[in-house]
Amino acid sequence: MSRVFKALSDPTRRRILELLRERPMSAGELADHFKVSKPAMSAHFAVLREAGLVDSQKQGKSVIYELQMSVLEDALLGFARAFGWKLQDSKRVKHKALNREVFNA
Amino acid sequence: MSTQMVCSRPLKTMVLGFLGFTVVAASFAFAQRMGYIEASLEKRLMGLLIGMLVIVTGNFLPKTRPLHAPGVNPPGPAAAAERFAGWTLCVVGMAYVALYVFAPLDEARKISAIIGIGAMIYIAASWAWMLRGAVLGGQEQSLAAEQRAAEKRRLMVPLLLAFFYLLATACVVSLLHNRHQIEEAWWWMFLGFWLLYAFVMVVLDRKQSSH
Repeated sequence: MSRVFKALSDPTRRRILELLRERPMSAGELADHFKVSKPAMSAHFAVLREAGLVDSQKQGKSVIYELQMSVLEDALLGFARAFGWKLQDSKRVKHKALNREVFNA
Repeated sequence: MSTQMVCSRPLKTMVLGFLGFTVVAASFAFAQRMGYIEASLEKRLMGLLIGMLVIVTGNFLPKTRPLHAPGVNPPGPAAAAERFAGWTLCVVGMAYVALYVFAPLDEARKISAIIGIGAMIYIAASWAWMLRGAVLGGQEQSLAAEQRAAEKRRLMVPLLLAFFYLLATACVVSLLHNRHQIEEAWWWMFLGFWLLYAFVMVVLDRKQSSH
């Protein structure tokens, strides 16, 4: 389940899932919607695949991705979209707390 | 992690869920027969169990992609129909659980049966609409994709039909009181589900072999 939360924590991956909701798409088609480098997109696809949220199959030269979400995962995506959940790494949280302390002092 | 593993995990969960359900249901019936629990409590527990089974099946339904037949059904609408069926079953399952926990037993049995039958008719109608593509035709896809979908169907179609048969039986038993009527309805449903299974498998296999 932690893989699913990790996958849903990123807005780019959430957007990919929303695009796949309409129809299965190739990696290239999906990449066209984002201003992100190809390796970064591949990393996003890998995270989604590992979480079991998408399924991929090779068709000729392109890889086709399609949605494969349970109702619970679909509901989590809905919540994440509604509230804009974003996991913050501990370093960033510590940095923010430090900044706040400096500002208050 | 391979894609194959990701595909088979929900199916394995569904198979284990069915086995677990059978064991727990049998133990409830045994406990009631031995006089450990009252008949009304056993009926409530069975209702709760069915409700939970409906929730679990509904949750995994969109992940198992029962309507996914490459080259047969358009992927977007098929996935939407599966998602809607999954959500419907989850809501119906939660209604079952709430009814068997809070409502008087007679009302819970009647209302849950009506909700269950209504949901099944709606899902069957929307899926039949989708599956018309299997009868009328569709665009050709790669052989590998076809074989992959056929492998998934081999276990999933009987499992889903068994689930719907179980739910339909539970609804009919809850609605009818006369034993003779229940037995008659049970035989007709048994026949109907077998015919449906045969029809679905023949159509899908013929489609696959034609590709």
